[in-house]
Amino acid sequence: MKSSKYLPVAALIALMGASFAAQAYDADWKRGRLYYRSVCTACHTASPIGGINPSARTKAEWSSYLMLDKHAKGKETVSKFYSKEYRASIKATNKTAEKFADVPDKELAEDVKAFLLKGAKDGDAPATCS
Amino acid sequence: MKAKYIPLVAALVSAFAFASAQAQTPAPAASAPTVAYSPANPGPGWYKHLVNLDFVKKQAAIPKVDGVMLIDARPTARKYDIGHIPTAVNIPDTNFDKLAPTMLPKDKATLLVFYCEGYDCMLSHSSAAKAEKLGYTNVRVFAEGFPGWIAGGNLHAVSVAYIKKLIDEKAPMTLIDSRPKARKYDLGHIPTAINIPDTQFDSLAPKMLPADKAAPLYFYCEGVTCVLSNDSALKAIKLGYTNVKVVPEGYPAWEKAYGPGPTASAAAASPGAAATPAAKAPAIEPGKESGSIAVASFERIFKEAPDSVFLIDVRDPKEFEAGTFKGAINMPLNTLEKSLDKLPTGKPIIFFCGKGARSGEAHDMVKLHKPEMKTVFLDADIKWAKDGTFTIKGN
Repeated sequence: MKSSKYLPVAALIALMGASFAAQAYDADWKRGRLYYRSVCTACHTASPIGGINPSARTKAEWSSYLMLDKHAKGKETVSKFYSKEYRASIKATNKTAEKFADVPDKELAEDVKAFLLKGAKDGDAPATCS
Repeated sequence: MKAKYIPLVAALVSAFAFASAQAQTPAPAASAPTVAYSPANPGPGWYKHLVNLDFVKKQAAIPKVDGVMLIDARPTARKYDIGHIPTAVNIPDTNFDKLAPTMLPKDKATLLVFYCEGYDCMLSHSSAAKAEKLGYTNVRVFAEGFPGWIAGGNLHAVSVAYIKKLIDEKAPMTLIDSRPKARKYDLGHIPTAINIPDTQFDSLAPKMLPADKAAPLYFYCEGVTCVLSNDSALKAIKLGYTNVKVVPEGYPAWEKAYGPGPTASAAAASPGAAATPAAKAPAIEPGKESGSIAVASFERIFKEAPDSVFLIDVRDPKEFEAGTFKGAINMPLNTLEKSLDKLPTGKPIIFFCGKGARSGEAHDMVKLHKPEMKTVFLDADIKWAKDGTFTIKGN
């Protein structure tokens, strides 16, 4: 009885812990840059799909794009491309994906986001792919 | 009648048998059977007292064993300089009469072990006989010679003269001073040498030694009484390096032959006046951004010792063609990941581009895939003019 009484409190503490843990992650924009170049720009070349320079969008546009999580006009999610499953599927031909095989999805997503915001048109260091 | 022919037939048979035997016996000079001489089957003219590899290993130990002199009887430049048994001195047999009086020890009971180029080489036997004539009473020959020493998996020693030649020829090599930094290396070292104190080998070697395990490494320390270079060389072999050599005579022999080497204080005080290649190679000083080189440090290296590093321009070919640093090579960032195995080794790499972004990414990429390589990047805004001049502004 007593234990069940404290369950909601424990759950709250656990949630807070998880929240702090999530907040504690300090995104590594350099790692995001490596992943972005190796994985994203591998397909997003000038043709046929079209390049996606980080500096082609503003920080707000990138934030919105990532939040909506829609890739290829909504046919799939952006987060799919950060996932361990995806990395595993391309690791045979992509050395960076292989190196990052065990990085948690959320961390990698934060890393790439940090790079995109830094390299955005209005970011600290607008970045192109060349 | 029959008996009459018996002697004739016998003579004919005998003559045929002799001729037949002659035909089966090779001519003495032209095709004499090859005799494999060895300590078990000494060749003509071999010295009577032979020793084996195990015996020599004990005498060639470092620190040098007292009461022993190992003598390489082969020619100096063609043989001894480029490879000999550690601690051996060189008295070419052809110069024995001239050199022996000053080089051989005064104590005639000293153990003298002569060697040369293996079983087919007579130089060591010849020198040993001459030494005995001079009154030396404890003379031996290691007939397997230097080939036998190397075949036994032992360390390959080179002379300081050979190191000087490599330095003068700017041959690709990594020369490592295994002595303590402040007490020894900073006070004088062989030009171009990097410092990996043996006590810090495990932590520094992965960062400072070339990634290419076939790259030539030469270790030295404080002469034949110093074991540090031998120890480091063996550690390098354990790491997988396949072309590891030692310079047992080390810095004292260098200093004696070519004068004092560069010092840390001299390089810091008057880098422009440095007279030797190592003095011209200032250290890479880190910049503000992690993994970067300070602009001032880059400018100093580029001005004084551009050959001490590889400069890699990671911009696109068109940008590269429009202007870059003299001596730089072009490896565009877009293709770098697939070209990682083609990166040059043996010296630190400085990546650069126009703004410091692509060069930083190149550095990160190499650190991810080849963390053993020593790379930095120039985090700066660089502009090249058509006349080859440039401006660098740190970020």
